[in-house]
Amino acid sequence: MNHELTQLLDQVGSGDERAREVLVERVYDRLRAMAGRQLRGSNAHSLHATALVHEAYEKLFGSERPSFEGRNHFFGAAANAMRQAAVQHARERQAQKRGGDWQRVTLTGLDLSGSNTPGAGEQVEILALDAALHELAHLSQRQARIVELRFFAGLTVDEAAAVLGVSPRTVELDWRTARAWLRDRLAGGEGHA
Amino acid sequence: MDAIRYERVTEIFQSVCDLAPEERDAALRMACGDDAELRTAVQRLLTNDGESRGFLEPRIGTRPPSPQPTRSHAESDHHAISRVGRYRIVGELGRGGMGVVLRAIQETPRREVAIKLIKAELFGRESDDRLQREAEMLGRLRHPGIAPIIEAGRAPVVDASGDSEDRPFIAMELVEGVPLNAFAEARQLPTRNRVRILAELCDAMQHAHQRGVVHLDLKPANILVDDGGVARVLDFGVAKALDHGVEARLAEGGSVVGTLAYMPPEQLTGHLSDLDTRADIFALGAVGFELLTGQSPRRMPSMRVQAGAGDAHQAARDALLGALVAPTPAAHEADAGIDHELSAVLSKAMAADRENRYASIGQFGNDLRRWLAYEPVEARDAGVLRRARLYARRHRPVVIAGSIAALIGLGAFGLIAASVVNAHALADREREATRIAELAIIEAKAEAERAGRMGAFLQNAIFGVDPEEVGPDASFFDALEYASRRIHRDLADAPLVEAEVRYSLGFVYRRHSMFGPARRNIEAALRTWREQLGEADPKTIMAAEEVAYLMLLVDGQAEAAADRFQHILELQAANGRETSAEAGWQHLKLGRALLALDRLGEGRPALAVSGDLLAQHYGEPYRARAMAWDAHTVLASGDATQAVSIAREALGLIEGASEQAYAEAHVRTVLARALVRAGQVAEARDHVGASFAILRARLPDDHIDIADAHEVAARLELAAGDPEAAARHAEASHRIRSSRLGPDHPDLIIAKALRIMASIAPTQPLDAMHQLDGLFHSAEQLVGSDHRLALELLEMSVQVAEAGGDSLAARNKRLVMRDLGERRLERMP
Repeated sequence: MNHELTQLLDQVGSGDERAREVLVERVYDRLRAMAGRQLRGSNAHSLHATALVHEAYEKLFGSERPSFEGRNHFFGAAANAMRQAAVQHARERQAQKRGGDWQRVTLTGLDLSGSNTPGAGEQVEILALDAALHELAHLSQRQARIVELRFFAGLTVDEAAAVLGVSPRTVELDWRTARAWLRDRLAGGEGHA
Repeated sequence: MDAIRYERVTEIFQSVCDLAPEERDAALRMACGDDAELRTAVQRLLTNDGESRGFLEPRIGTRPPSPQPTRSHAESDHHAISRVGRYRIVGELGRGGMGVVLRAIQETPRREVAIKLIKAELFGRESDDRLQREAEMLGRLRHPGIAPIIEAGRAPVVDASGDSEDRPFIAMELVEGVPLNAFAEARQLPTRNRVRILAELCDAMQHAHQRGVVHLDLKPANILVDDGGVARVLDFGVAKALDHGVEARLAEGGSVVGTLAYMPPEQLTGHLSDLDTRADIFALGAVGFELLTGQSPRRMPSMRVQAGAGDAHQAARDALLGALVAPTPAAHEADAGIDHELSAVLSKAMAADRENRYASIGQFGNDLRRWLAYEPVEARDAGVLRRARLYARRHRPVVIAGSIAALIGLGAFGLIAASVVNAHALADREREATRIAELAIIEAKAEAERAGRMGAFLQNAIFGVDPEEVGPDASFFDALEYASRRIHRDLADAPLVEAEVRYSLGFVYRRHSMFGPARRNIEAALRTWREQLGEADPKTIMAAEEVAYLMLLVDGQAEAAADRFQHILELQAANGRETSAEAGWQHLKLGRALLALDRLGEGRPALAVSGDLLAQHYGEPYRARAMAWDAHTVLASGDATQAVSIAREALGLIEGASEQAYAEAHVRTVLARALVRAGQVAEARDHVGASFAILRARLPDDHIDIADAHEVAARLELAAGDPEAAARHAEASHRIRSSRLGPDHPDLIIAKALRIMASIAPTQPLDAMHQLDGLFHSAEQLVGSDHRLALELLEMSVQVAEAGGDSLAARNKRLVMRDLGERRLERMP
């Protein structure tokens, strides 16, 4: 298992798209299982994005320490998987509540934001955010990726910069831009029109 | 909006977002011109930017907080403890990550015991079975080097107020003693005694391993030494019994660093159940490293691991793991007082990959005992071969490319440049070779066609090395070997080219102390040139000189060699080449041969001519090469003071000069030899050290030049009163020489004599005397009884005869010595 993953990372590192897909699939499975376990537990356990990613990394690769490049690829894939896991979870929650109140599944419920009050008392609806991110990806692939890395995988600016191979300053500015755009978009703005 | 438009929006937003509001408006107007839509889009981002602090913002370091270390628990509660089960508590012995250790009295049988009271939170009730199972296994260990466990389990812990609580505990026999490192320091134990303790610890560990028990937490603090010097291992199997792995320790925070330093890489990441006896081998290797060098084999980060501090925790952990997976250094690099043999033993025990460690801890102990007995260690042999193979694998392209360039570009002399030792040496020799070759090329009758064919052959032969024929681990020498096998087939119709190639190959082999193939190739070249070009042709002379030189170096046949050198010099003079560079080298070799013959009076003038010619042709630093041998000659005549001053002058000539590393090593070796004789041991030590450093960086460990340095080092240590160190050097010198030199070489005799002086004479002086007398008789046969070698042996014999109390023998030997000494003086001018 570990060996296979290390190999996958190497292949991803050399630009193998298929390997990337397989890797994401593996990471996704693992993260989903871990997130599910945590979500089923008591309310005292909240989902901590960074902790999950690091834990997944250690569980997947154990003592084999892939190259730094491999680690960055992993974080990229993990961020994507985290996003999928969160969206999936939100969909399931909505499905369970079918017939009852259509509660909006918010990210604060998962504590993915790490804060109970993201923004000024706002709550972020995860499916709407996902949709908005898809739109943003059409406008700026990099900004969407940064949101994925920062928000869903909980990476720091420096870590995200390493994953994308750009400077931290670029990540900082893009992150700020994307956040402003998303907030506008989620508030019903037409900035994307 | 499309991506291009959005890019523009982003660009403007990012350029103005940090400006003050009043500046911002102006900048925005400038950037957007009259594109109102663009301006609106940027404006919306700016509005949301201002209001979105915290929006989507991940909290830094969202790692769930781990429980803080709970040392205070253990600290606070033991004061009140009066009993643990059937043991009466009388005091505290210490405390560690796992809990507190108490001194207690067992009533029947009455004895003092140590009770390890384990933090309850480290240990769930579900683990009780395991603890008891392990304790039973541990109870079966009976070895003087192991502090036995009495029992383990759960017992009511009663405090002063009479309250009672069940707590896990381990009871073991109380060992009075001092931690290993403190003991060694307090007693200033010499290296050999430390190694002996280490070997005894191997025995204790082997006893446990053979009974299926591993320790997994060996460290100096877990090894106590009593007044009698007996070391005992504590806490055997505790780590396993408690399932107290690395993760648990990291979670505890604080005290783990000291423990982790001795853990093998696999223990840092793997689960306890995957570990085996080889983890203990590593740990004991690390303990030994620290015991012998005073330093930890791992450079641990200075920070303490703090549990639960988010990013700081992660950073600390990363730094720690980084330090832990870094390869461990070699002991002889950490402490120059540790020789390579011992260092190799420790390195083998601490191999990162457990497959490369000793297969058992008993074998580790055996190798330590081999070292103590001055026998070659296993670790060394395996290490050398392995390193050679790895080296060849790593550097093959460089090495071969370098030698090809040299061969093709420089002709026959260029092969001097080929080196398998390392890239630096390659560069050094290439420069040296270039210099020599430039002169040689001017003087040689360069034949373009021949050079072309030679280049083509070597290119085919060496680049064409077929891995199927020579194996995947082919080294440069394999390639040379392959080339020499192909020479006859490929160059059968061009004997002169064949001779050229063979001469070059022989030269390279000789430079690498590979005297057998060197001689075969040179002799073949000599035959061809002699037949085809005649006796007086420069090439024939060159090859004859090389053959004579090998006779001197390998067989010690100094007389025959000296005759040939003299003959060659005459031939050169007849050709009008008595002041050529070659004549300079030949005088140098003649001087060496005369020194070997103890014909010192003739040797010095030859060396003086050599120095002048080399300086004239290659520059002043080259004079140092002749001066080094002159210093050696003067020393042989008994004048250590003058020898020192000549060697110092030589060192002055080459210090700072480039391309003189080998000459420098030789000069320093000679200088050290003279200084030892002059009684300046401390300074001599510096020069020998420097010489070793130069040689080892460039030559294989069993190169003949390194044997010479060992000889001087052995003399030095004898003079310094450290026969143990002397014995190691004498042994090394003897080993190299006996594998490289012919059986009748005088250098072999002196190496044997030094070995006797270092390892036999201190304890059995009369045995040593008899053996030295045997050597004296061999020397008498070989070089004559009035040769300085025979006299030196006699002198040693007198010394041990006196030490052994045989004054009659000593007096007789003195009389013989005086007589021979006079004869020696008579034959000198």
